[in-house]
Order: sequence, then structure tokens, then C-alpha cells
Amino acid sequence: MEDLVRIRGLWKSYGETLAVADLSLSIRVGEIHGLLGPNGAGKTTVVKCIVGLLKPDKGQIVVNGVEITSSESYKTLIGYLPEDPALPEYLTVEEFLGYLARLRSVKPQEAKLRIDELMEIFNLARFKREFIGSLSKGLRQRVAVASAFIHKPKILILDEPFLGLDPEGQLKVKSMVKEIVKDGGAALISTHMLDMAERFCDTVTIMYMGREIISGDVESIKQVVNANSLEEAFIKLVNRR
Amino acid sequence: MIKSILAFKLKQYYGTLRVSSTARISTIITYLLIMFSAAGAAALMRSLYGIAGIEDLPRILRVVALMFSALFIFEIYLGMKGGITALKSEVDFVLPSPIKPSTYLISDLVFQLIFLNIILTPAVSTFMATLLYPDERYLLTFFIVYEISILTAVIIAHGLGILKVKRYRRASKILGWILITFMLIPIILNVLNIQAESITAFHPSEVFARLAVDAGEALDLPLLIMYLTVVLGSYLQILRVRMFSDVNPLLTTGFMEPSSRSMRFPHLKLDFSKSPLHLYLVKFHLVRICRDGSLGASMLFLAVFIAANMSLSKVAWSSLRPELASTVLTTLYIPLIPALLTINWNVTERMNLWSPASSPNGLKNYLDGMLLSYIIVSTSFAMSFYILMNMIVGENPFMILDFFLALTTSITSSTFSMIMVIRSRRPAAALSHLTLLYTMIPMAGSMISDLPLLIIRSLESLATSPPPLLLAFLIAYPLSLFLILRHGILSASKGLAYALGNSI
Repeated sequence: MEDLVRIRGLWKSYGETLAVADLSLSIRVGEIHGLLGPNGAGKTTVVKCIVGLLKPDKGQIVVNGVEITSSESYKTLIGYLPEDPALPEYLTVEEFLGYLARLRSVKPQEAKLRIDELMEIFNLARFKREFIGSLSKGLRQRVAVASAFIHKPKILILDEPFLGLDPEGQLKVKSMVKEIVKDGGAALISTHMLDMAERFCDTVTIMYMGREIISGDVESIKQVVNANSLEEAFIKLVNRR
Repeated sequence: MIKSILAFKLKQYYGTLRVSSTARISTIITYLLIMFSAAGAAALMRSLYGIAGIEDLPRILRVVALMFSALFIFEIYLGMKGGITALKSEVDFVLPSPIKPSTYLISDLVFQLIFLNIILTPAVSTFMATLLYPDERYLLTFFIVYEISILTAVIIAHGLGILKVKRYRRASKILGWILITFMLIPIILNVLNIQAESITAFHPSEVFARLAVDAGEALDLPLLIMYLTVVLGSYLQILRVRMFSDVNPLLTTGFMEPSSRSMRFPHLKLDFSKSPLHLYLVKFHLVRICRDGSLGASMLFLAVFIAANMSLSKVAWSSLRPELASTVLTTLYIPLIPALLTINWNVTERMNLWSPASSPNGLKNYLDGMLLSYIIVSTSFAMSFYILMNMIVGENPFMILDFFLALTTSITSSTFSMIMVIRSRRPAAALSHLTLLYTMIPMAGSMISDLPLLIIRSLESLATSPPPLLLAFLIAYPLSLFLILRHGILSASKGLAYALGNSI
């Protein structure tokens, strides 16, 4: 199967602190890939390098066959959700989604339909004209998640997408992700919700202190360390280090 | 407890100085620039405007009174915004702790005294020492009165802030505006050339000024004692008030509306389905600065600065061409608009940039729209002020040249302000010494770029009817400046994306 995201030998440090060391991973068409690891493992750094918010010290990132440093055009394919998304409080929900649609080159008529559709999916319709600053934390997270889908991206890069979402919201995100993946896309989900990762992701990479400690499909990882669950496998692998 | 809270506030606010050598170097540069500018301004007043040390007492008194008025207005403004300088982490962790409100208020009072002294005193002392030279014996008296004035101003700010917290938001606003108008009286009287001794005899700024330069009249000291008794008496009452609900992080939101109240101008529509992308993004930024209160704050600051300086030019420049003086002063202060807008942008908008940064060419388009909107706003302001001042001064405005002057100032200062914040790795608080740097560099940069136009402007015959070649230059000059500086901003967008990745 074709690789939609391919990372080879990625290195990144912040001053003296090594954040990612020699990481390689591939995400194929139709695959949901989980990036797992404890706090400070380097997951968010990897995500930021893919979306162009951090410059890798070394290594290559190729998205849909395009080396990301050569052009910004690959960003049209990506739907990104940061770990702790800040939202412009001075805009209404509709204005914010419209703003992102414009930035991501969605045609105005199409954007209108898409915004209405996402508002329905994420139960935001009655908050359409409310200022984001007046919304609760959970509703803001829904708005942020909806924004990642505004341009029907082919590749989803979601950093802790389920944080702050109620079960209904989580379910909707999962079905949206699955829909995109089914249509020939792929997703990278960075999370430390291992239960969810086990059920939701096809393949995972577990990181510890910037390095990959294991990568592959969930079942094979469990077999390698003789664990009953991904959580148990994760703890066994991390404790070995 | 007071000491612990104060130490926490100081460590937090000046924390970057402890860990970053860049912050320390930029602080030193800022202060050197401030002191150099203050000495330059005082020397300019002495030599060009003919103020000759303390012997020129009436003029010195005007200048000092204006300075006190400006200080009071600034603190009243902060009072209307909340008055208490709690940082975000204090709102989250210190205020919910079991401490008495009075304990916190006194810590904040001491913090504000330290903070204002650090920000203002180097400039004020350099300015006064140069202005009073060689009669520096007045400096000690000046400093005693100056410190009393800072204490009074902070107490007034606290009072207004607490009034606001106690659900008297409207009363606090009305009282604040009444006090600002009252403090503006010496400035307005001076601009309009009105002698009103019955007012100036009792006006606090005038009383403080007379006492500061040892020119107090019989009633001044009793008046000062009376003012202080009223202010301190009210403060003792204030200290009993429970004020921990609704305190906002004033040091970061000083020049804007706090986010809880940023839902202003709901009738301003940002329709994403209309206009080309560039125009849409210009509109986006215009809506943003209206709704977050930046535009209003910029207008207020610019009006106070220009009025104070027109007043100074009345004190000192009466023999020269007043319309030229007002044009030069407006040109000097227009950079305050993009400076304040970018300072606020740094606080409210910088963290939202993940959305344009993760879109193809999103940051470039975003910054382009921001630059154009800032140029539009500052050019419009400048033109309005030129027209207004030329009406007040009563001279015929040189509209063509003034327009190009305003445009050049706006282009240079907007780009300089933007480059400053784009290049900075982390957002600075709105009220910090870095704010001074963010305002001074665009001011200096635009003065340099304005020089050719200012020279032409000072030649009356050329300014009124420029020959075709000059007109061509007037069009080409700002245009080429715009293209060069815009290129600088757009090429910095990649660096901004990476800086964002490190900070958000």
C-alpha cells in the first residue's frame, strides 16, 4: 500500500534537550496510526514537524510524495488539530470555521455547506453565531475538532483529539476519522489514551524519551511482549527502558 | 505573606531576566534608548524651544504638570481596565488561596510602585536632570513629590478597579472618564491658550508640579495633604473589600478588552463567502482589532499623546510654524498605533496562529492582510488628526504632502512593529519594558524613513504645490518602501511558523 506520510531518521532537539531521535514511521492509505508514549516522549514534536510548525534538525518527512520543505502545497491535504488549541475568542463559531475554510482554499459555496454539515455533526448549530469566547471548554474543543475537517482533508494529524470531549463527541470524531480513512485517506493520532488506541488504531508507534521503542500493528505488539492489552504492553515496554 | 506574594509577582513578571541573556541584553538596550531619548527630548526643549533651566520656571511648570497629568491619566486608564495587576497564574492559584484581600492589595500596591518606577523613573530622571541642569538641587524635591504622585495614582487605579469588581462597572467607567477629563484640563487649557488660574490653583497636577520644582504657593502643601488624606482614607475602606472575583490579568491585557468582554461589535460581520482572500483577511484583521478593544485603546493613547505634545509645542514652539509642529508631532506619534496593535496581537492572537500556519501559504496571506489593515488604520488616523489639528491651529493643510507623509509613516511603522513581534520568540506582556522597545523602534524607524518628506514639508513653496517630478517621487517613495518592507515580513513568515511551534 502507498505511504501517505513517510518519516525517515527524524531528529529534533530544543537546545540541550533531545526531543526526537532517529524516528522513522510510515502511515499508509487507509490506516489509522497511533503515536503513543508517556509525557515528554516527543509525540507533539513529531506532529508539529509534520505540519510545518517545527523545523527538524535532521531527517526527511514526505507527505503524499512531496518532501515538506520543498513546498507548502501538502498542507491542503492535512487536517490538523493541536494538543491544546487556542481559538480566536473574538470570532463567532461560524466566522472561525469560515476563516479556516478561506485559508484552506475551500470555495465559498462549498464552505457554507460544509460548515452547516459540521455544525450538525458536532451539535454546534445553536452556537453558530455565538462568540467562541463565550463557549464552554468542551464546546470549544468541538469547534477545534470540527475545524480539522473543514476542507475534507486526506490526512488527519490529530494531537490528543479526545481531550475535553464528552463520549458523544469522541464517538463523532472517531466516525469522522474512519470516514476519511475509508475514502483513501489516513490518520495519525497522538494520544496517551491507550484503551482508545487499542480499539481505534490499526497500527501504533510507541515512543519513549524521543525514541521509537516499538512499531507495528496492535496485535503483533501485544504478542511480542506477551501482554493481554496495549496498556500492559506499553507499561512493560516503558519499564524495560 | 505580603512579602511572599510580592516576591512571587516580581519573580513571575521579571522571570525572563533570570533565565535569558537575550532578555537581559534587550532590557539594557531598551533603557539606554529610553534614557537617550529622554535626554534628547529635554535637550531639544532647552535649545530649540528656548527653555533655560529652572530660571524659565513658568514653562518648566507647564512641562512638569503635563507629565503628572499623563501619569494620572495612564493609571486611571488602568484602573478602568481593572487596576489590579494580577498575572494569569495569580488569578488561577494565588487569588483562590486563603489570603486576605487587603494582603493581596498591599502586595500589588508595592509591586506597582516598583513596576512603575522601573519603567518610568530612568526616563523621567534623565529628562528632569537635563531640563533642570545646572540646578540639580531641585531633583530631590522633585523625586519626593514624584513618588507621592505615583502612590496616589496607583491607589486611584486600585479604587477604580475595585469599584468595577464590585459590580459598579458603569460607575467605575463614568468616574474614570470624569477623572481623565479632569486630568486633561491643564493640557486642554494650554492647547487653547486659556489662562484659568482658579482651576490651575487647585488642580492636582499643577499642585504636584509647583511643589516638585520648589515653587509651591501658600495653599499647595495643605492641598497636597488634603488630597492624600482623601485618597489614603478611601484606600483604607477599599482594603476591606473582597475583590477576588472577576480580577483579570491586567499586565497582559492592559491595552485591550479582557477576553471575557471581547464580544464587542457583534454587528460587524465577517462574511467568509465574499471578497477575494486578501481583502477578506484585511477585513478579518479590522474586525479583530475592533472587537478586542485594541483600536479604541490606540485611539485614546494617540489622542492623549498628541494633545499633550501640542500643549508642549504651545509652551515651547510658539515662535515657529505651529502647523509644521503639529504635523511633525503627529508623524512622530502615529507609530504608536501599529505598535499598540502588534503588542495586543502578541497577547491575544499569536497563539491562534496554528490555523494559518497549518494552511498552505496561510501565514504569508495572514501577515499580508495584517500589514495592509494596520497601514489602512494608521493612515486614516493620521489623516484625521492632520485635518483636526490644522483646523485647531487654523492653517490651511498641505493635504497632498501630508497624505504621503502619513502613508510613509504608517508603512514603515507598521512593518517595523510587525517585524519586531514576528522576530520575538515569545509574547511579551502588554505592560512591560519590552513594550517601550516595541514602540520606540517603529518610531525611530519611521522618523528616518520620513526624513526626505519632512524636509520637503518644511519648504513651504514645494509643499504647497509640488512639481510633477516631486509628485512622482512622492508616489514612488512610499510604494517602494512598502514593497521592500513587505517582502521582509513575508520572508520572515517561515521563521514565525517555527517560533510558534516552539511556543504554542
